[in-house]
Amino acid sequence: MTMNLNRRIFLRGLGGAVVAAPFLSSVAEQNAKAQGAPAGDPRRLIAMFTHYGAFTQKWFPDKAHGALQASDLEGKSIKSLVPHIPKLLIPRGLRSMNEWSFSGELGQTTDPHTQTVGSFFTCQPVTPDDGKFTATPLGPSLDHVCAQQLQADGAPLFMRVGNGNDSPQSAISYSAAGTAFAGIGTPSQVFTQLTKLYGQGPVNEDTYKVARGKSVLDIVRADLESLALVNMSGSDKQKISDWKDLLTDVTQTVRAECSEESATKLDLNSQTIGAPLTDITAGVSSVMNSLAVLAAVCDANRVIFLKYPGAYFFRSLGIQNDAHGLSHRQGDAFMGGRACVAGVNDLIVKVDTWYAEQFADLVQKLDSFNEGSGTVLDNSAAVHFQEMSDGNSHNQNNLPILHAGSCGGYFKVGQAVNVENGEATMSSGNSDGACADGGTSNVPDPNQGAGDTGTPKTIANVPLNKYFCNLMNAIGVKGDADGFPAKGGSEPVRKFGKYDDTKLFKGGGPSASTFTNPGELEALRGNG
Amino acid sequence: MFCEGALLGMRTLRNLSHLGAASLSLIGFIVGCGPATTVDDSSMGTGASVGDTGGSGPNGTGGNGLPGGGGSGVGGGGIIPGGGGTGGSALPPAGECVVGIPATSQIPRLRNREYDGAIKELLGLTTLSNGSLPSAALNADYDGSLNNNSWGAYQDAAGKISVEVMANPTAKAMFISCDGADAACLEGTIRDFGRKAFRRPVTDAEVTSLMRLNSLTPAPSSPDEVVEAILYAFLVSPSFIMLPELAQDAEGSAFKLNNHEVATRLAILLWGSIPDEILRQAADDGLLSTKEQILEQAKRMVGERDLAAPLVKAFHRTYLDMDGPRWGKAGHDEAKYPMWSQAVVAPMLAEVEAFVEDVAFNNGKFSDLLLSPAAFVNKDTAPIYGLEASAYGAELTKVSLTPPEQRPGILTRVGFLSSYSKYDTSSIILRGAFIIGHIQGIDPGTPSEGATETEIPEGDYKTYRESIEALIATGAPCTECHSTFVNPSGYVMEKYDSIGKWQTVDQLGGDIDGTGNVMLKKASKDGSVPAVVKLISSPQELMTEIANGPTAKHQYAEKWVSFVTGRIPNGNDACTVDVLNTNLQGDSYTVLNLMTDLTQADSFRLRTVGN
Repeated sequence: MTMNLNRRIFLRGLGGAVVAAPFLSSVAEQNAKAQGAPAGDPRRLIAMFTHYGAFTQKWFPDKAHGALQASDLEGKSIKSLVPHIPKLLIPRGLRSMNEWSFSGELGQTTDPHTQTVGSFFTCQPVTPDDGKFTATPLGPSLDHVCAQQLQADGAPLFMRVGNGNDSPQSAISYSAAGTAFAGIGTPSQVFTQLTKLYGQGPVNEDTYKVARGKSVLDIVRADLESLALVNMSGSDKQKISDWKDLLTDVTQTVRAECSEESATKLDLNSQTIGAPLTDITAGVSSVMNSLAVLAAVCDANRVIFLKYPGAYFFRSLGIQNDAHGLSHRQGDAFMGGRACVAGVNDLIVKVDTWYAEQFADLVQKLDSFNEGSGTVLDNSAAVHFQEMSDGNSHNQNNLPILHAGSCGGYFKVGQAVNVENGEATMSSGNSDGACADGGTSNVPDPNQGAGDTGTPKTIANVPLNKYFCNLMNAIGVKGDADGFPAKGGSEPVRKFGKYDDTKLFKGGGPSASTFTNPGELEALRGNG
Repeated sequence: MFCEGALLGMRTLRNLSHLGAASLSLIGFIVGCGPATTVDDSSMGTGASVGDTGGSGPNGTGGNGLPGGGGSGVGGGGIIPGGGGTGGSALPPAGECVVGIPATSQIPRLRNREYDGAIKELLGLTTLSNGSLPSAALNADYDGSLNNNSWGAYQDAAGKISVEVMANPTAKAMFISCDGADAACLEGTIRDFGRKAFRRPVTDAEVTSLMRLNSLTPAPSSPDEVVEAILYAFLVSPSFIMLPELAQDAEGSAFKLNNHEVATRLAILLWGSIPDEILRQAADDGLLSTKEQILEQAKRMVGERDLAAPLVKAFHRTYLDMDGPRWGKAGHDEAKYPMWSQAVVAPMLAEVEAFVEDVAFNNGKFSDLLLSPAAFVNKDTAPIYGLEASAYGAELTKVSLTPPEQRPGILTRVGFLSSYSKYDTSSIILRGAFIIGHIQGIDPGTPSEGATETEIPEGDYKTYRESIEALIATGAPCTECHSTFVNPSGYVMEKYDSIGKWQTVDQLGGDIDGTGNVMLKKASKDGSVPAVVKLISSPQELMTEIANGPTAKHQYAEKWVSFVTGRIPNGNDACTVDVLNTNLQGDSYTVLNLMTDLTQADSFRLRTVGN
């Protein structure tokens, strides 16, 4: 067991000067302190997101429901998770919202990617309906909804692995309707903020450095207050107010484990954080995982997202085509009708395997730090989300999702759980329906029956909204009387987004918000 | 917080500014994802794409968030009165000019590249001692409130910079040039430096506030600690990090920016930095009140090549979608194309920036972008142009390609041609779609229902063109769109192979047929005005027709206005676009003239407030 010993520190920026708090303790901790109660172990969501789905038959374990064993993962691209089976959860039968199709029967026809990523973590339509390259969602994404309740500054720690920018065709994080959130792309930026929390030894409070830190806060505050006197739009006034809210203190209470020793254990130092950004396989993914873990250990943020880039060239894996073209089997953006890239199915499995290894690395690191009566992983829900199921078919039912950590016992672990019907078997899709001979025959068009590489549309359609409700409830997000996430709420979250029926997104979601299947997934609940 | 309606109404690319189609090389996000026979319409966007790199990146492509409106042209073009705006937050749709001033934020933050420009102007630093940019610690550009991370990043950047300045005598002298132990010196420094950093005279209250750093207890160990503290305080001040526009003088139903605010807008727009001393003095002297006075400064500023070149390059990167999913992303079969290697990519991309800068600062016009035979080659790209590799080194060298009619303008350079190709063939559709969409600004519309499931018919094709013609002939919806809009320019561009080498014989053995019936203007919606279509038989003819044609200049002007304002095309900005388009028809109207005229819009010196 780890004693949650805390220590008070002065936050120091580069050059040693005392600065304003970069990380306030979480709202939960603040509330606990205000109530005179000891703050419990944190509960956190750490999500990894990758594009273009997976080669599903090599990804899904054959067992869709029941206790997992090593043999269930052997031979699969997720075999690197074998050591973590006791803490693993594979929810089966879920679908994300707003699936693109030729007919528009399953959602909008804006763009196969723009609407998929825009709606994935928001469960909101994207607008404008014909904005193929520009459409953005009509509401905030899960990371922000959670952070707005759990973080004093309302912001998640959103990290872009490789520091690439995102367009509406790849962006997943929105702080509000249409307001994309870039987050952080370079490891050094995160590392610098975290090192303030354990810094370079104790600070003598009675120094000019500390006095300067406090005085500068006053200078900045006065500047903001004079700006606030001017007639401005509501949004401008909000920006000024939000900045003022950040000017609270130059001290922080941090956990004992938030230390240089922990950083060293995670191999974080000024050299490793300089890993080249141009090749995400050359170390930066491991560094970003380590930073996510250190942020968790330091309780700097309870909502951490790691987003991988789109259209990436995995040249170090011996792949000459970008990952998007690869997912379509023919090396370009079209759906069917052209020759398979030679050996494409194996190449997709290579990418899937690499992604799974990164998730396994994250899980292993989370599990290597004690916290409370368990580990940091035990108090977390670490989840690997994928943009779709099969990348050529673009089907969003039967999503491949990996979940590790019970989040304080909220989730079952060590199991696959078929949330649709509890049956032991479920289709693993038909990814080998094309290019199976390894040759260069033509790729059949998707959704054309035989040869379609997706999963039949009639199965595995439990809305992802429900799983999001589980995650929110697990980490302490509250809902209003209607069940929507709401700051100051006191109810469990039962609804998220605008709809939980993908068909209602068609045309931009003109009908009123409605939920056919509210509530979290009881089948995933553990005993905590 | 934004309410949904207002946000949608005043959607600006500044809100999306870190998105757009701009992306670093890692995020070459492929668009289209459409059925095989559908146009890969990745180049069809009608809105400008604006983006910027993260704090550690090189030149960003972000718009500057400045509004535009009707104005007069340098080249004697028409004058459209601007006048007061309606002040609403919903923008009229693109198309017809609707007089008005779009609402803008009064407190936008410096973009990261503008932050770097400001540090250079204030302290003479272009890089820190570790080689990184001053903005390296900052989060990627975004609109919206600061959070702990981004605020912490500003403090980190300020801390690093202030420490380095104190250790660098030259930089330190740009901050303070007297004895920091003397309170009068400190106060004078605050006023002098503050005038530059805040882009306006500092107030007495601000001086008092900053001077408190000289009287804290415990006392500092040395006067230098106070000097560093004052510099640090400046660099984390909202009045430095933001670009406040607070003047309340009305003009019509809009507010008129004061001289200092105009000076800031000029510097941010044209230099991506803060005002220099000439601008500051002009502002102090009240000489930035009229369009003519603004024009005078703008003309001076675009003439400063080192300072104005970044804007030229940044805009054209966006105009050509260079941060999109294609440029530099296409691999090629090195066995089939032995002149190709990954080493070609960097110089071919650098050539584009060198080319556009060369055109702009040699009094080039829009047409020169599409027609100039100038090229910037090195040992890796030279062979593809038919030049001897051994005659060139690793650096780019300017040449004039011969015969010039084989290499008109930027679209016949290796960068575009190889990027808009396939692994082992050229691409009629990608090239044609880019030209008609990005350059000509003609939107062919969305594919018809059912224009999906066709495959290239079996056949003994002697050219790639033959196979594509067979493909689009299999279904009526495909035929109309592709044969009318998309493919013809692509057929003409078949004179260049997959890596951009000139070719007259297809790799399948047949002679290249580089002719196409190219759409130069769409028919009117009611059909009363027919389309303009011309049979074109060479790239030189294609680029000439497009450069002088009815749509490309309008597209260019619209892209410029969107880029600098950060707004998707709308009715208010259409007024500016119309004027610039008219000016571009003139024989002597240059790219620099256009950049200067961006400052002539009424909405450059007036503003309105949103909800």
